[in-house]
Amino acid sequence: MDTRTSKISSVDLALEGLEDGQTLIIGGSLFHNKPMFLVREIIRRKVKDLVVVSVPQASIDVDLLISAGCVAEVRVPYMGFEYLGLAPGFRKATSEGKISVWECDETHLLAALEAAARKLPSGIAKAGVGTDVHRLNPDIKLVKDHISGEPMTAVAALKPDLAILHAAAGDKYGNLRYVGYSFADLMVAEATRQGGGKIVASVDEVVPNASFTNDPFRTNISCMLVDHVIEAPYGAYPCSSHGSYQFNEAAIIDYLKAAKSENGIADYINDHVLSVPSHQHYLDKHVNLQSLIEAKAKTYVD
Amino acid sequence: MSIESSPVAWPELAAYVLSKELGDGEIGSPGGARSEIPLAAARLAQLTHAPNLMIITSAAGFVANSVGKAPAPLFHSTMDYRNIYAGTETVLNFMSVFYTPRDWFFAGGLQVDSFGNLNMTAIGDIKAPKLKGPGGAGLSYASSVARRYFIYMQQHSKLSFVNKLDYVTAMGYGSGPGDREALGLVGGGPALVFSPMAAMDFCATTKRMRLRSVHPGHTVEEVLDNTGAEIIVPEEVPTTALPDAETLEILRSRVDPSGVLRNLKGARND
Repeated sequence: MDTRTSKISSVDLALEGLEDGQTLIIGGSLFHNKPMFLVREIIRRKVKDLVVVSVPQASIDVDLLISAGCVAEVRVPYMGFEYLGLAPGFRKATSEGKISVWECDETHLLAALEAAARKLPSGIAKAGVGTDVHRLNPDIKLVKDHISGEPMTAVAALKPDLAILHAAAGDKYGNLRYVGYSFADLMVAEATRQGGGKIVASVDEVVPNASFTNDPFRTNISCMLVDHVIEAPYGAYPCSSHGSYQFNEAAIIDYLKAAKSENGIADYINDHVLSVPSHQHYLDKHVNLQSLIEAKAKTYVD
Repeated sequence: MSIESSPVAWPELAAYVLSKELGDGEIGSPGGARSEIPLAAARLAQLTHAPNLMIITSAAGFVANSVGKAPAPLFHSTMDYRNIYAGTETVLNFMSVFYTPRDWFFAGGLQVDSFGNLNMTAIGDIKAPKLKGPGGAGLSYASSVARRYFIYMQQHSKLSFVNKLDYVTAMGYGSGPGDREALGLVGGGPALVFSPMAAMDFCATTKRMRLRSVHPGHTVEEVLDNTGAEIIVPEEVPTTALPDAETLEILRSRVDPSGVLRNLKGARND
């Protein structure tokens, strides 16, 4: 028996065990490396009351989950659309008291994830000292450093049940390679693995294992940290697969426009998620070839 | 001549004024919701008086310097691949992004008070806020350790400049002198606040916000009418100086050739 187990999975197998109320952590940042195909698949499963985590920044990934009614709590240091404005689903749901927000600084989430990765009960940060964050978030406490007595904040370890990531390339054993920046994805995978959760990665392309052994210094995340690999070309669309293709600004603005009204967002979710039974259908229906040609990640300007 | 009718749009003025605050050899991060302005400020500083200044894109690890390189247009998103390749020489790993000390960074906020404390959290009851902000990002961490930082407010009103914040997301000078030292915040605190109407600094002894200059086309009275925070107004308040022709030429031909700053929403109060 010298055959290694392939981790190439169906979406059903990869998302098996997903339940209401679980803690979901999403890789990437802002408009980049967001596993949007997997986000849509989670929405299609009508899961509820998720605690959704992303660091450092989230945009359409978490906002779409909120708009679709899947979320009870948000743990994201920056939740917005940068130069395109605030997050509409997030603003609406918070103003109506429908979701709660785990207020934090980026370094609180990193300390919480690092604590999980190192099997510690809590992490420590300077952020939050002199602010209201410990009054707003029961998982963050004002403490004195054990050695110096200096005012600090402590934050409870955060152990996600499920991590979803998007990488440019992966092999059947779960090794992952990014073309551009990998943001906090390694930390996300480490915290989820050591905390006992499951890690699912979509990749634009499944490549031979030799592609990794030929240049192991270019592997970003080890197969030891990945449970399932799903090949999903343009699986981050309308976000970028950083370094491979750009985010589609027009498609993101379409979402922001739709989110302005109840009917608009319901139609959007139906059109982009509920009525499309597979990734292939999504690509056929919503992604045109010209936009992909324009989305090729250019590193220069003529 | 007023700023609206002058050939200099206020985001360009902001980039120019902020660029003059940045020193040679410093390491800093542009950031905030309108990061085009601080990114342009930092690149302009590199191309004028601070050739050894290094820019680190804040929530990612792209270390860049524009000196001696082909002009690269600004793009709106700091992590746009074309922005990253404009002079990036090193990509830091994710933890180094947080380890590397900054001489300065830029922050925005829903509200700022007289001592430069910032609210990015929410306005109104936290359980159902009138306006939920995007959250603290890395502001609390950066404001505790950076040597100094600059605040740019997209609006100058009694709602944004207030005496009491709804929530403190990042501490500036707390309630006055000595507060940062008492809490072990090693960074120096906020140095400058820039709005579409005026530039404000902080009094060295009281740590209270102080009107430094008023932009062309605006008056001290107008600034005070739109400021809910108690600020110091010196007897003489100069008009914010516009960039000279040579600096404006560098800003427009090398830093922002495609006019991203000139065409920002609200750039001309229109």
